[in-house]
Amino acid sequence: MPVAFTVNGKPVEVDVEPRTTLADCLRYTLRLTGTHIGCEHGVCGACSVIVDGAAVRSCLMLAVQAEGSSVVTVEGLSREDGLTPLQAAFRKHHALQCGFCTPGMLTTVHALLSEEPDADETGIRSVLAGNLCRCTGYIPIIEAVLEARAAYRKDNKV
Amino acid sequence: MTSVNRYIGAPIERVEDLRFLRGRGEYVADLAREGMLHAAILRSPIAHGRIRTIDLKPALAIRGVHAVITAAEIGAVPRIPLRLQTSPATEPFRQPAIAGDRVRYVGEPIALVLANTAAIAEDGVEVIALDIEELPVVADRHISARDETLLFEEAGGNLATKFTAIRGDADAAFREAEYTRRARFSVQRHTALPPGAARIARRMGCRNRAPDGHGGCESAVL
Repeated sequence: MPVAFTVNGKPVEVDVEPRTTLADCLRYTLRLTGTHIGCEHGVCGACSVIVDGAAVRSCLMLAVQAEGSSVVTVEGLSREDGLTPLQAAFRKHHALQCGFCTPGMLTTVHALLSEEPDADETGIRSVLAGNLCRCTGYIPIIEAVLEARAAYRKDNKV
Repeated sequence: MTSVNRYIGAPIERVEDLRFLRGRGEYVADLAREGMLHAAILRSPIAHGRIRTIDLKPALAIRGVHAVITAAEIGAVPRIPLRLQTSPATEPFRQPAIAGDRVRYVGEPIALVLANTAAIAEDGVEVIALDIEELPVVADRHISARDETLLFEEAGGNLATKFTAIRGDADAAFREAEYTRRARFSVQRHTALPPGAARIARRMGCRNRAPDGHGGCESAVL
């Protein structure tokens, strides 16, 4: 089944089986393996990507549902050299260890701070409750997000 | 001569963060090679049973499925080594890498489907026709000790070996204690003590090295 949408600003056209999830389409059809698949049923948040500005679980969305949408993955939130302020804050606060949940954390946080650059700790914790991390214990992640807010306040864009 | 340590007390930036934070980590599932096949595993749905029949034909009939591997195809199935094999007596109880005609835990691998894509491999797993006869479940050591249900029949029983460990003079310690108490503790993880036992261990003068009592206390209490 043909599907057309944009990924990280670039238009793509893929031919997928109707049952293909957006996560599998990104990873295996488009070879964007930064998006990780953990639980495959919407619990762990590792596969979170941004679809039309909202953080969604790409394992719970079919690729065909992305028709006409704008999809942003961790690759689209990254620069060729160096780190964005959000990524740099994660590195500084040791908000990652094995890195498996990290892309989902970054997309979720990016969607949050793009809309609410003044999100308080309670709000951040509530949003990140949907993303599991088995390494960090979450506290460094919260610290990184609190620090990254400044970058979103200035120009509302990272 | 002293040298300045640059690491202790200093924030160290991890080199791997640069790839992990930009979606450039390479995990096993990210690998792609020419002609690479994907595997999906049919696992036991029950804790203990005997496989009566297994029909692989429906899986093999799917386009894109290359092979279905079972213990029968392997022949001599390797047994999984124990991390700490303390005695050769445990040898007959080592679990096979893939189930033969017997499954001994939920999730034990029964068949491996190899296909062009992970989705096709999963399709193959779904259509394998498996007929398992349920056997009584051995859920703890008390049931196991009765030897009513043998997990490895060729071993002749469920008891592999007996360990006896003695440390200090427990009889004297109890005799001289101001307060004694008899209680039974149960824990599945043998690297830790249940909290109640850990408290008693501490009262007995054991110094815990970890909050869970991991270490010498355990043998002292037991």
